[in-house]
Order: sequence, then structure tokens, then C-alpha cells
Amino acid sequence: MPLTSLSFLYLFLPASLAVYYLFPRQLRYGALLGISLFFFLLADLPALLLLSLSVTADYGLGLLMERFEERNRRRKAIMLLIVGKNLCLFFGVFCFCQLRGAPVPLGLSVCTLLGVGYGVDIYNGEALYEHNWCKFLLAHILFVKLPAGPLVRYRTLREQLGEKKADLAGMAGPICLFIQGVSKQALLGAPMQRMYQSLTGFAPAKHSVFSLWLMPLCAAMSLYFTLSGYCDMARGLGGMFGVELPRNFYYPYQSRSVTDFVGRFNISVTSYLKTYIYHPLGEDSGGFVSTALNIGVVTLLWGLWFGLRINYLLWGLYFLLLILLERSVWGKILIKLPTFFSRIYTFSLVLFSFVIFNGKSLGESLFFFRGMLGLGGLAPATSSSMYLASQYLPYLILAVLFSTSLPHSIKSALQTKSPAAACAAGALCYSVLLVLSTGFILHP
Amino acid sequence: MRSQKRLSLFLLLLFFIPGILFLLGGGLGDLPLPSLSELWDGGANDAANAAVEESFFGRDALSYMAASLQTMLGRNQQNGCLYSTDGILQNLPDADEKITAENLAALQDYAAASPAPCYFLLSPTSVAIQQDKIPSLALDSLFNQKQYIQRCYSALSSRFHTIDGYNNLFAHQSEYLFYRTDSRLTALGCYYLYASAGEKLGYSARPIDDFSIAHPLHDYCGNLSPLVPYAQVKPDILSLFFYQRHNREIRLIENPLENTSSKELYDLSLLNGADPLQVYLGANGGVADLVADNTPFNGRLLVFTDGGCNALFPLMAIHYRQIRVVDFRSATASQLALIQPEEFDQVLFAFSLDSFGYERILSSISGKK
Repeated sequence: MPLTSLSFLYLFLPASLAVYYLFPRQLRYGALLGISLFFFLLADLPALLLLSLSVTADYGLGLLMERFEERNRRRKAIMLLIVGKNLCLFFGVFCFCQLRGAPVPLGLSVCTLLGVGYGVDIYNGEALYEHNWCKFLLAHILFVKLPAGPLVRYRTLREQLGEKKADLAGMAGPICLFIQGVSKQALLGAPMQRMYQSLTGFAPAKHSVFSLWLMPLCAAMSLYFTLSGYCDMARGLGGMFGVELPRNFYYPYQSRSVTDFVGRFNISVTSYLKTYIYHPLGEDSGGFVSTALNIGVVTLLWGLWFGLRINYLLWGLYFLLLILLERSVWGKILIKLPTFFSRIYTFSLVLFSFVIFNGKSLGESLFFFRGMLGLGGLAPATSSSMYLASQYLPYLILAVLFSTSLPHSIKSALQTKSPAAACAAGALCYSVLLVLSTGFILHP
Repeated sequence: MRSQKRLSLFLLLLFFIPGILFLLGGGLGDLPLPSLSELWDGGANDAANAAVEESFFGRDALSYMAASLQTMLGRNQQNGCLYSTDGILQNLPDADEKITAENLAALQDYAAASPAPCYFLLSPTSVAIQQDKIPSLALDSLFNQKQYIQRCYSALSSRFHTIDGYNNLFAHQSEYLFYRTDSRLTALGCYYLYASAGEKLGYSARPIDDFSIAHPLHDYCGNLSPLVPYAQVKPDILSLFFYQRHNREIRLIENPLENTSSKELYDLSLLNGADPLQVYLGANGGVADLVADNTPFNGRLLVFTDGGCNALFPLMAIHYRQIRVVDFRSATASQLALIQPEEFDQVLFAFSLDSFGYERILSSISGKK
């Protein structure tokens, strides 16, 4: 069930909130589990069965691990079994779906990687063994984060389930965040996606230098507004049900270096990879080669998060190269550069990265690169590309504007200056955004 | 704290009210109960969402608002159509070359076996003629219909007489040649095709003043309206041409292969039906005859067509004793088998480019269906 569908927005969500708050506080996690199961049942029944079995196995293995003493080798074997089983499930199903051209089951990555984290955490003593199967299952299949994350550590989630008091006064923030996510996706993400698809539909002869520059720009905006929109929705929904989820994007397109960008884009994935791969590998405590290897593993997996494709691997490799260059060659110069220039530097390199990200093959990406630099013998602009740009120009301008922190700064300034006015303006703005988004969902 | 509570309550109501209105409007009954197979393949969700969208409170107003805003922001294309307040134009992709070659080969085969001379009229669609309604930047990306028609014509052998409808239509591009909300030609558009075809078919086209024109329908919304449902386009007007001279009476026989009773040329009751354009050739039974009384002409014309210019044939009928019109889309194999081409003096293939370039239309006519 897409979070931006009308059946979710105006039926499932209000009904879920009503059910959740009708239950006494101690039993609310049970209600939330029921709601999540119902959501999963409607959205992807095969995935629900598969992942419930997998989660139950992790739960059982966790209890088994608890029986053994700290230094017992069997504990390690069980931990490896949990990790191995989840990774096999993740990659196996992912490859199977990719080969058959089928959609990846809902929540596959979120559930399996949470399971991996749980296994490692209880082995290291960083998380408590879970004795409540319902809470364990809920942490894995909590419906708000199933569609697009964020990826959260088990212990972070476990602490919050059913414990935190959610009251009416505290609901405004999460609802606003949810509406913000819906608007990001419906009002900017979807049009940017349509523009990008129109550009990819151009025959090579119809391409121009201009259209080739537009392509990565649209791809970057579409990806950002779709993913960050879904993450805002998840965080907003989480807040409504008393679960605080971390942010996944922090204005990545105004980063001051590529290293900074990696830390702001898909933050929960970066953080997960750092916790479970980069730290155990020794971070940057070794020499240059060891550090490069450690960063390399994390960055490549960061790229492969989007799918098992050679271009995603190259995307990760591209960032690895730039991060290493920043660390060892021009990082210090970047810090001294005025903000404007360092942001232009980063955004240009990120834009180029989307040429790799979106290419169907390395050859296609190279064709786009050459074209962008004016080396492919393409016209500077064609009427087709100008026409397309004219149709989507306002969306593109708004997308660039809203990908920066400027709107947030204005909102914060207003809140500081006049909280009452900010509250009224917020009510007006968010209700207009919701009405507009509903219109755009009905008439995409 | 209090203002936060109020804000929360207000925002919550934004989600609750549409849901409650949906339920009060009987929406719950419209929600389909999912079957196990629908749950298994994810279809349950789509069905439920479609039901909610269908009965959503204020759906039309919200969609209209979104469409207006999108148009204001520069959007003028939807579902393969270009639109403006002047009308909806179907933007055709490049024609399918393989299908075109097959259709042309089928035409050649037919002409080789036919004792009667064959004629071919390939009419362009509105997007090629009404270029003044299209943003100049979009023109380059349009499929070049003129070139395509010329290519098709030159691919046919000398056994075929080709009819140029393009230039005459283009010369009158500012007139009401195509419906604003339909992909088909208006009666006036068909009149210009009729005028263009006269020289090749051997009749002298009557000036437009020889016809009295009635406009019995003023709120026609054609087949393109559902593709751009909230475009602010005025509905269309349907016109009927009546030849006023020489007391000539043209009558229509629907399904003449099984029926001989004729009726008046235009059955006005069809204007209230699902497709008011059926008024030109009757409810579509696949085959229709137009027969003329009090006529000095003895010619018989067999027409294979696609329904794109049905208003053309009542005009042509004043120059023939009989015109048999076969709609390739709805004619059955048994109907086609009963048609005797040797009974006719001329055979006309009148197709619109939006079917000829994309559908295997002649395999059915040549019996290869």
C-alpha cells in the first residue's frame, strides 16, 4: 500500500490512529503490531510470510544464544548463523527478483539488515536479548518504515515500542513532517521523475548538451524528493505512533565536500555500514591502504544499496575515489574555500555521479559524459529538450529551492520571532500542501 | 501547549474528515473484499485504492484544481495528447514501420486481384494539420505525417490512385476541421476530403453552398476527453450536411448483407447514444450501404475504412447509386466473405493515419485475419 495513496492517507491512517489510541498505553505496541500486520497483509502477503518466518528464526536463535556463556564458541556460531541467514535471504531474494524482473518484496532490506544488526549487537552485548516475540516482530515489520526505511538499529527501536507517551500536543510536529513527505513526493518527486523519464525516452539523435545536463539534474532531484519524501513520511508516521525515527537526508545537495555529501545522503545506511563494517574493520586507524580499503568496502556497499548493478558499483567507486582524493590531496583547500564555491564543487561532482547512477551500462554513461562535455558532436540544445524544459521549469526551480535549507531557515526564523504567527502560518501552509498533494495524487 | 494541541487537532481533522465523508457516502460498501489470490499478488490494494479514488469527496474539484495548476505551470501534455483551451490533439508516436509495410503489401495484393480500380486516401490527424495550436518548440518532436503519407503513396504501384487530402486540409487549417475533443474529422473536415477526392474518383465535388448544414448537437465530448479529463476545452458541435439540389434522396441501409430495409440518412436518435458520431453511418454493424434515389449516376463504390471520416461518405453518396462502407474494426469474417468486390466499379481505402500506421488493418480485409 503506497503511503501516498488515498486509501492510505484517508482511510488506513485515520483508522490506525483511532485504533492505536483506543488501546491502553501498555497494550499499544500490540495494537501497532496488529496495524503493521494488516498493512503488510494488504501490501505484500508473500513477503509478510517470508519475513515473519525469518524474524521468528532470528528470535529463536537469539534465545538460543542467550543460553551459552560469553566465551562459548557456539555463541559465535549462532551469531554467524543469524548474520549469514539474513544476508543469504537478502541477496538471494534480491538477485532472484532482479533476474526475473519482479519487484523486491516489501521490507526485505529493512527486515534482514535489522536482523543482521540484532545478531551482531546481542553477540557483542550491545543489545539485550529479546524475550517478547511480539515486540521483536513489531520492530522488524513496523509499517511506517517498510516502504523506504530508514534503516534503524534494533536497540534504538526496541527502547521506544509502546513505551513513549504520545499526546495530542506532540502530534503536530509529526503530522507536519508526514504532510511534508507526502508533498515532497507528490508535488516535486513525481514531476521530476516524469521529466527524467521523458528525457531517457529521447532517441540519441534528439539529445543535446542541454538535455544531457538536464538528465542528471532531474535524476538527482527525483531521487532526493522521492526518498527523502518517503523518509519524512516514515518519521512523521513514527511520531504519530510514538516512535522516533532518525532522519535519512540532511540537505545533501548543499554539502561542502563529497565526503560531507556521503554523510548527508541516505544517512541511516551510511551509519549502519559504519557501525557494522567500518568500525569492526578498524576505521582509519591503520595506514593509508588499510583506510582506503575500509572506506572502499563501505562506499561500494553504499552504492550497491540501490541494487545489484554494475553502474551502482561504479557509482560507489566514483565516490570512493573522490573521498580518498579529498582526504589526501585537496581536502584542506576545500575547507578554506568560500562556502559558495565548495558547494558548487560538490554539486557538480554529485551531478556527474548521477550520470553513472542512471546509465543502463558503462557505455551509455560514457556517451552521456562525452555529450555533457560537448565532445559527442551534439547540438547545444534542441527544440525537443527546450520544450520539455519549458514544461517542467517551475518544478525544477522549486525542486532546487526546496532541496536547500532555505525554507527551513525561514520557518525557524518565523518561529523564533512570532511563535503564534508561525503556528497559524504552519496550519495554513500544511493544509494547503495536503490539499494540493491530494489533487496531484488524483491527477498526476 | 494549547496552540500546539489546536494545531494537532486541526491537522488530524484534515485526515479524518475525508475518510468519514467517504464512509458516510456509502464508500465502505464500494470497497471490494479482497480474495486470497488478490492478497497474494497485491491486487487487493489497487482495487481498494481505485474504489476510494472513485468515491473520494470533492474528487472532481481537487482534480480540476490540480490540472489547472499543472497547466498554469506549463504542462500541456497528458496521456499522449497535447492540450490547450483550443482543443486536445493526439500526439502520435512514429508509425510502426513493420505494420505499415504489411498494410501496404496487403493493399497491393488486393489491388492485384481486384478488377475494379483501387483508390487510397490516407488522412492526417489533427496534430499534423493544426500546427498553429501547438507550441513552436514542440513542432520538431512531432511525427512527420506529411512525409509518411508521401512515403506510403509512393510505395504503392501504379494500380493505385492515391488521393491527397493533406494539402487541402492544411490550406484550411484555421477552420473547424477536427473536433476539439475527438481524434476524428468533423463534417467540415470530411467535406474538404470529399472535395480532394473528386478529381481522382471522377466526380465533380459540389460547392459547400449546395448543402444545408444542421448542427443538432452542441455539447459533444469525444474520445479524447477521457484522456485529458480536466482540460478546459469547450465541447464540440456536430454538423450534418444535406444536399439540397435535384431532389436527390440518400438513404441508409444498416447491415445490408442481411437486411434490405432502408431508413433516413441521419438517424438523429443516435445523437443521444454512447457515440454520437454514429449518426453519420448508423449504429456500427460493420457494413452499411448508402443508396441514392433519383440519381443520374450508376456507379457503385466499395469503401474500406476505419471510422475516422464517416461523415465523408454521405457527401460522396450524391455521386453514386450505391456506396458500401465496410468498417474493418467491426466487420466480421462472415460479413467480409459475403462482400462481392466484382459488383463494384471502384474500391476506396480510406484510412486515418492513426490506425493505418499502427494496426494491422488490412489482414482482416484480405482474409488473413
